[in-house]
Amino acid sequence: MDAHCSRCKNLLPETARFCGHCGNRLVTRQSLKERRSIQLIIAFYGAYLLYAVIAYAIYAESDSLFTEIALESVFVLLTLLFTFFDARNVFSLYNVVRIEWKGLLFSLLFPLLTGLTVYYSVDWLNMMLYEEDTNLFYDYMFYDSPFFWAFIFYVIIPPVFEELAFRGFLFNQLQIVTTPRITILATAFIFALIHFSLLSFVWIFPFGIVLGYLRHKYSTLWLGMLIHFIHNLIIVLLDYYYFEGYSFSEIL
Amino acid sequence: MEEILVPAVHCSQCNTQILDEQVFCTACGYPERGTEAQQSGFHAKRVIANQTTQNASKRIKSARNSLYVVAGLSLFWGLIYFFRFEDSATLIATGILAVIYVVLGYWSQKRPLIALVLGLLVFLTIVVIDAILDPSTIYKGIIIKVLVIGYLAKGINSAMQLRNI
Repeated sequence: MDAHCSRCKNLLPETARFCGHCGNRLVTRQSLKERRSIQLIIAFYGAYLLYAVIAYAIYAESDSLFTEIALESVFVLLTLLFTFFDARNVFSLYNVVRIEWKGLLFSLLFPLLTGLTVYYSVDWLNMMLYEEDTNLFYDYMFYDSPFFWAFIFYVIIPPVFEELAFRGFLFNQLQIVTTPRITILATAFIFALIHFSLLSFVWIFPFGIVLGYLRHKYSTLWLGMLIHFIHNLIIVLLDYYYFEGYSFSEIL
Repeated sequence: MEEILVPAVHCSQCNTQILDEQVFCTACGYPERGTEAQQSGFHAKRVIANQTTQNASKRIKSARNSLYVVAGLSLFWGLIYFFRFEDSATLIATGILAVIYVVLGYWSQKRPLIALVLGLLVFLTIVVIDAILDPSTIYKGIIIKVLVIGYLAKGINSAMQLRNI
């Protein structure tokens, strides 16, 4: 597609950096796009940091189901807000694509492996380092239907909206400024960074690289959502299993 | 039918072919068919552009050095905590953090834009985590924090400029 000089309207070849007629230096569309992408990436990360601080402060004050619903809604809205800056490119990642059986099989088996490994190693590390037994149902048991809420907040929202935010929006913006390989690495790095935990960094970073690679290879968010979903489901199910198993007598 | 071949004019500065009716080279902007004044103006502009490149490189270097300084500072704090409170967890965390800063700083020689952006994000995250753990840290070392963020932001801006010269 040929463009015209902004000053003298001379027709320009696509590769031109200067207008051949008047010598005007052309600010390429690419450089404006890059600048916008960098600004969006920093704004995106800054917004999530701010959200994290405010959410932390609010949870310290009140830890009810209502606060959790409200804060999770803010997270969802924030993600959607950024998505709209690049709506067309992000939504096209939800198109149905052909995925070879190997990719699909991998996406079903990989989260089984990570789910089990992460669950037991994090449990073990928590016991070793802090001598405490963590189970998310200790927080949820006071709600009317603990499993339902845990399912919504851990198994539904993160796979859908974290994938949208990181493998969708952030990945697209980084792709504009750098190569695919660095985009995959940088997305995984930022994804691990926002989780605020050195311990999680060890497994979230490689996990993010795998998700980013699949996003790059198939140009779809569905595989990432599937992996993230199965991974989180395993963790919630195991927590529920152990919680039901030997905590009931203590509660009653 | 035989075509009439007109010898192509090439830019005397960058050897790009110049189309017949064009005065300026579309690749480097040299006024090949322009007046002498225009041509000397081009050379003057080029000197200024070189200056801009040099200044941008300097700002990137400052940003890189600020990453190294932050790496040193976090390791320093880790050691203080270790010797005063025998807190090895903090030492490990700050050690890993220092390594991340050094790696990003080193990488900024090859890919300044992305390395400095990631450096800025790591730094902002640490400031926020510190603030959550202990709200009084917000004001501690605020001058250093502002300086580091300023240097990194200038470096990022210069890295973007350099890509489009």
